[in-house]
Amino acid sequence: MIARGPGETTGHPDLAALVRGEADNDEILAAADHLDRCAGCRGDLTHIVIGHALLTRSSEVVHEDRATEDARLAYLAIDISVESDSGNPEHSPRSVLRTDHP
Amino acid sequence: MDTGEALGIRLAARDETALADIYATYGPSVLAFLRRHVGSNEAEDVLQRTFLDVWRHADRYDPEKRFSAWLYTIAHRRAIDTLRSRRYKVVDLEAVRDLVGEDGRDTAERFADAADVRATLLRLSEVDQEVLRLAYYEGLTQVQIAKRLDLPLGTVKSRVLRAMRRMATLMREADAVETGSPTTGPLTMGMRESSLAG
Repeated sequence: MIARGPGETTGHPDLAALVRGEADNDEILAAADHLDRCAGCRGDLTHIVIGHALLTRSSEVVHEDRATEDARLAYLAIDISVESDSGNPEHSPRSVLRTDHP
Repeated sequence: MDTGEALGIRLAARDETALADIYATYGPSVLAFLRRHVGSNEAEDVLQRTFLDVWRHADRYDPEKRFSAWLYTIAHRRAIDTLRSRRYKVVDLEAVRDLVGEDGRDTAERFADAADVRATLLRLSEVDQEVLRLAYYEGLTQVQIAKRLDLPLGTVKSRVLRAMRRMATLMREADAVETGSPTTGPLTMGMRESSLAG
């Protein structure tokens, strides 16, 4: 069931748990019955399915933590390499590629 | 944080802060893409060359097109250049097959898709980002997230639901801007704010 607040639940099924395979069979079947009669939950389910599909596909190709740190280190290095590589000082990204950027 | 297309428009207008924002948004996922194709040793160099090209050719970005696709096209080309420049007699055929031709374009597109999702994630509140990262990038269940964050399970469920709704809405809005289709539809009409917690 979905919480309205800490320790509180409503009569609506936990749709995120449903699409993520965290619900047990009884909960899945109860959700099916509920969805038959609740237009609000059917609308929510559309959001959840879309969000779940986007995030699942994304998680298969992006390994966040290691890449984030290494990209940050590579970013620091650009500040040096750009200095001798940019042609037009007016359009140089040197001032953008500062070393204090996360 | 702007959408990819908004960042691309700022970049094309030579807004220097756009490059830093693009790097912060897309850098990690482009690096992950390059690592897969050119290996860890060279990926960071290719990443730097990619972003230098992005800056130099900023005026070629077409705002009608998806920014991430343009960015990954450049990264893809730099990766191919890198493999071609190698003097090794023996090359990793699997890496080459994955990078060139139709497969390579598919791979670049998949990474561009993933980068758009990551960029959209950065537009959510920090608490919403946190639950989605734990759920999808670390593979935790909602029960495990509640334990990890020392929060009531109901709070986690509400945050996950709210964050997924927001993710879907933002992605649809960005797509509507790109394709010129209307932004209102069943998704926004069907939302039930009353079921959300803090």
